[in-house]
Amino acid sequence: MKARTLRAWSWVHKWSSLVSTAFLLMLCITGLPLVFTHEIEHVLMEEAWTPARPDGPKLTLDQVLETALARKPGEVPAFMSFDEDRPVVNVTSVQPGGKAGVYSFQPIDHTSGEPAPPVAGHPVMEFLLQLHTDMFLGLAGMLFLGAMGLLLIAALVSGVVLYAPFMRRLPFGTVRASKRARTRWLDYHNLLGAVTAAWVLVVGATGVVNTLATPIVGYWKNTALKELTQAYDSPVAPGQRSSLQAAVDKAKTALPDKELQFVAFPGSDYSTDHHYAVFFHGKTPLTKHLTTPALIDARTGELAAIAPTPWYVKTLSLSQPLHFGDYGGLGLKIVWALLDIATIVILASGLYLWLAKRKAAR
Amino acid sequence: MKTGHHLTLWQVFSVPAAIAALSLFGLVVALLGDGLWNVIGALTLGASVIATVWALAARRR
Repeated sequence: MKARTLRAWSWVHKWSSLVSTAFLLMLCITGLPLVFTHEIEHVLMEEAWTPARPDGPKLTLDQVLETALARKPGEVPAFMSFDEDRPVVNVTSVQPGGKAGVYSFQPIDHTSGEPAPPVAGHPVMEFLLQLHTDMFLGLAGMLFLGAMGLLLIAALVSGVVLYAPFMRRLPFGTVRASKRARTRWLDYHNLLGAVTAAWVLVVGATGVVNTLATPIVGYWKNTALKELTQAYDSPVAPGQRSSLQAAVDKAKTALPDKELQFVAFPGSDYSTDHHYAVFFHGKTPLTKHLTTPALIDARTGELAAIAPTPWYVKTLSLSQPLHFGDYGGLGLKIVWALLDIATIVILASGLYLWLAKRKAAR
Repeated sequence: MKTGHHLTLWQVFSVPAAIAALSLFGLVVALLGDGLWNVIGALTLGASVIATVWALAARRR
């Protein structure tokens, strides 16, 4: 490689890293406990609970919704989701026109309408997740962290290019532990960078895709779902809505081979102003992460469309497990955590090498 | 250090490339399958961790 080319790649590696390191360290440190969210919440929150009438009939979803909203006067429903291992329906509601990210979440016993103890959403984990997602800055924060992710990819690519001249005389994995600290840490930096590159690229790139969730879903609503909404001028008022239970039943009949995942109410982020969007996912390990909504007209209760998601929404859906590392059991999570720690060492040693070089140059 | 002797690009990148390929294989099979595939996925992605431990023990000088 020509000296000039080498200097250019060095410049890219130095500046892409320097600008992003503080934020990437924050992401790695908050990400470490987040990998184990499910396990941590299980320990912190799980309490013995049985439904009021284990063998009794279940309430209709309309009754559950009514019960939930009665406890949050003035709020409107946004989402309804279903626990897999207990008869619990979770109702998420918001103040109309309220601030983004502010909502009420109520787990409700499907057999009685009584509140059920929450098994997710521990305040500490929610705080870490919010910091990790957008640093409490909403969309601007998400997009900013996405830009930091792009710098991470630039640092990774330039790092791979620079690896060659540094390693021309050293067999893979050499650690010159007896040499001075700068040499030793350069070797650790190169070794860890070389072995984690593919994983960092996948987690970084999928993280960037996840920061685009809001524009991706917004684009989908404004294009693919647009024509479904043209028959109406004003949003469907809560009093005009058809039965939720009937809507879910109709959607289930339309998609019999899939599992019900959640309902997005009219006007919420994942639906139009006029439809119940009833989301289903597949039953295989891969299709479990891919959702298909059935849109039910909230005025008439008729099936308006099955809306298979376009490629960019599928990309977003698959970017979530590949970023969170929560799709392959505890073994995969442990490897995820070790690679996350390795990345922290790469970031910290990179910063150290830059500082040590500057000090030496003075 | 053997001065004057340069490794080829292939010699420099063969082990990192093999680890990258194993990692990607692990990431994908754990997504496509369940049960045993999750174990295989964790082990192949874990090749990066195993290589690090090996290098720290065997290539230290």
